[in-house]
Amino acid sequence: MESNSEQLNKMRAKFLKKNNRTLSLEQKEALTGYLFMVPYLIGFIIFQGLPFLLTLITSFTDMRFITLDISKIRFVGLDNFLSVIRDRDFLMAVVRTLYYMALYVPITIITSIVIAYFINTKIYLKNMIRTLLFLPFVTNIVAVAMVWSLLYDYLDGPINMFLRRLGIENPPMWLIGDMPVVIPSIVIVAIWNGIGLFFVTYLAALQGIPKELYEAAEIDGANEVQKFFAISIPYLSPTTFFLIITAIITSMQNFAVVQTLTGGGPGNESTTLSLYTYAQAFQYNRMHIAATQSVYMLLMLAVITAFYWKGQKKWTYY
Amino acid sequence: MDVLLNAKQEKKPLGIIRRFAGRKINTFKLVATVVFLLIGALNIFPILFMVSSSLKLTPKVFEYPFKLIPDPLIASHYQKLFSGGSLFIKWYLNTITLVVVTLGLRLLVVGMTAYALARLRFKGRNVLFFIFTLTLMIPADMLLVPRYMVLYMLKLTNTMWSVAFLYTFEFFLVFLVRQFYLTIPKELSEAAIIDGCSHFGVFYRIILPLSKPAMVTMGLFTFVWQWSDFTAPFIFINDLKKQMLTVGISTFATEHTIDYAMQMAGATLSIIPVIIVFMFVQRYFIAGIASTGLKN
Repeated sequence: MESNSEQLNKMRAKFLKKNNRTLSLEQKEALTGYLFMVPYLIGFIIFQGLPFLLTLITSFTDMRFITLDISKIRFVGLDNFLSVIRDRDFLMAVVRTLYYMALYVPITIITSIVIAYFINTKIYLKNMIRTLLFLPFVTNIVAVAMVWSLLYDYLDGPINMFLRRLGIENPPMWLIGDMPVVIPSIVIVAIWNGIGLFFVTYLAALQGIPKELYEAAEIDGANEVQKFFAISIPYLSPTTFFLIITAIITSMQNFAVVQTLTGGGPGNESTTLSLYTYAQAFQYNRMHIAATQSVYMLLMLAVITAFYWKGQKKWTYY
Repeated sequence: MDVLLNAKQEKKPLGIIRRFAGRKINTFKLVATVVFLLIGALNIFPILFMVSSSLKLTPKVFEYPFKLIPDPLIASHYQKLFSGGSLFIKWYLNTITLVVVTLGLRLLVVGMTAYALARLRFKGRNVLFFIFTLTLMIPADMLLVPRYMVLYMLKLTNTMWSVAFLYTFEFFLVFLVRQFYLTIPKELSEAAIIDGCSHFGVFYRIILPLSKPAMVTMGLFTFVWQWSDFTAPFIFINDLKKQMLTVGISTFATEHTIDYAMQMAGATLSIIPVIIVFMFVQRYFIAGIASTGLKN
């Protein structure tokens, strides 16, 4: 009898649990959380996740054109990876991209620290100067490229006219020069266009440094330069760390600026990885090669970031 | 995102005289100011050159030394841009539509997602957030080709939607708004929940009204970036009639290879709306940038 009633109680409890329509607060919160995430998740999977997966998959196949017909696609193992790494044009594109990065990252970071440092406390008319320096950031790359190609014009451009007046008889070829000249010329435009983000971030970080630190240093007899290197730079190091990563990523993201300024020319002198990948996909109809190059690009970025991450522990103070 | 909130309270620029009154003028500072004014002027020279050249006769564009005020000053290039047969107005309208549609989609999606990521506890939230953040580290140029494949399969290529959807589901703005929601005190929503308000109700009645600064910043970013983007429309749209302003004027530049003044008129018209908006709300814009940079 006793075991019977026990069983009955158990069943009742089970029944109640099943039909308990009121969820606990935590369950409600979690449910709302999932509901709120659904629209973004769907879009994210389609427009971010799927492309990423497709790149990986395509790089192991021989898919030259976009097709849904799976029977036409063959799995080729690592063939693409081997053929890409033997492609001299690809290797040159890697070199150009690294050259671009090696110029872009340090110049951007150093210039923006200096600008922010001065705007923060060392000048009058702060807002006006900040606006003047920030303005190029909101101009679109096509307009920028159009005006800079005129400024850079070898014969008649104002830059070379000015240089000739200064007595320089062979001014740089700028956008029609070979790689050592054309890449820096593009980098100048990219930095001019993009530096606003960097120095404004530094400016905000500088405003977070307690004034007492500087005052204490002044009492100890530190000069401007000493204060800059002993207080500002270490204090900014987390920001610098983040901004250097941003700069590395931005420097690989150079399709727009290169395409609009030179289209990769003259010849292939400024064809960076992003342009070469675009050409593989849309001009030579080699989707599989383009995908493989994208994978290499990502690996490159991952390796650089990993090395940098490891190295930063030595100089970042939190 | 307190920087963002503070932006509102930041003082308006005062007149030079009032600014200096009663203050000791430091010689070093004064010299630095002059130097930076010169750098600033040099920095906007390309923009001045663009605007000024657009009002010049083409042969006068390369006149040396450069004259800021054109002589003679002509507006015929602008007239030509707006004359019949020119696609310019079409591109303008396309771009405005794109910005509005993107902003609409973002208003629907971004706030909700950001709120869930910032305040609602559910299983897998941190993993999702981590994955989303990782995508910030992938240069978009790397995904151009596979994104084209996906859009092509969805039959979205060559429509404005292809670009609008790509923008909407970028994580950056979700991240920005999430950072903002983290600064809203938890007690506010907790009290409402205890009073029997649903999470949905909390979001719509309490959180959204409070997110005005974040939404304004989002609107600004959307406007400035989507207006200015070149790569996405260049790759995903190929019909010139459906094209955006940036890509439009770049084809226009190849058409008018030697008509520099004409090119500059197109370029000027493409940057002017953004510059005007920026001038009015730059504090929000700059504060928005600074806050995302700092909190990362």
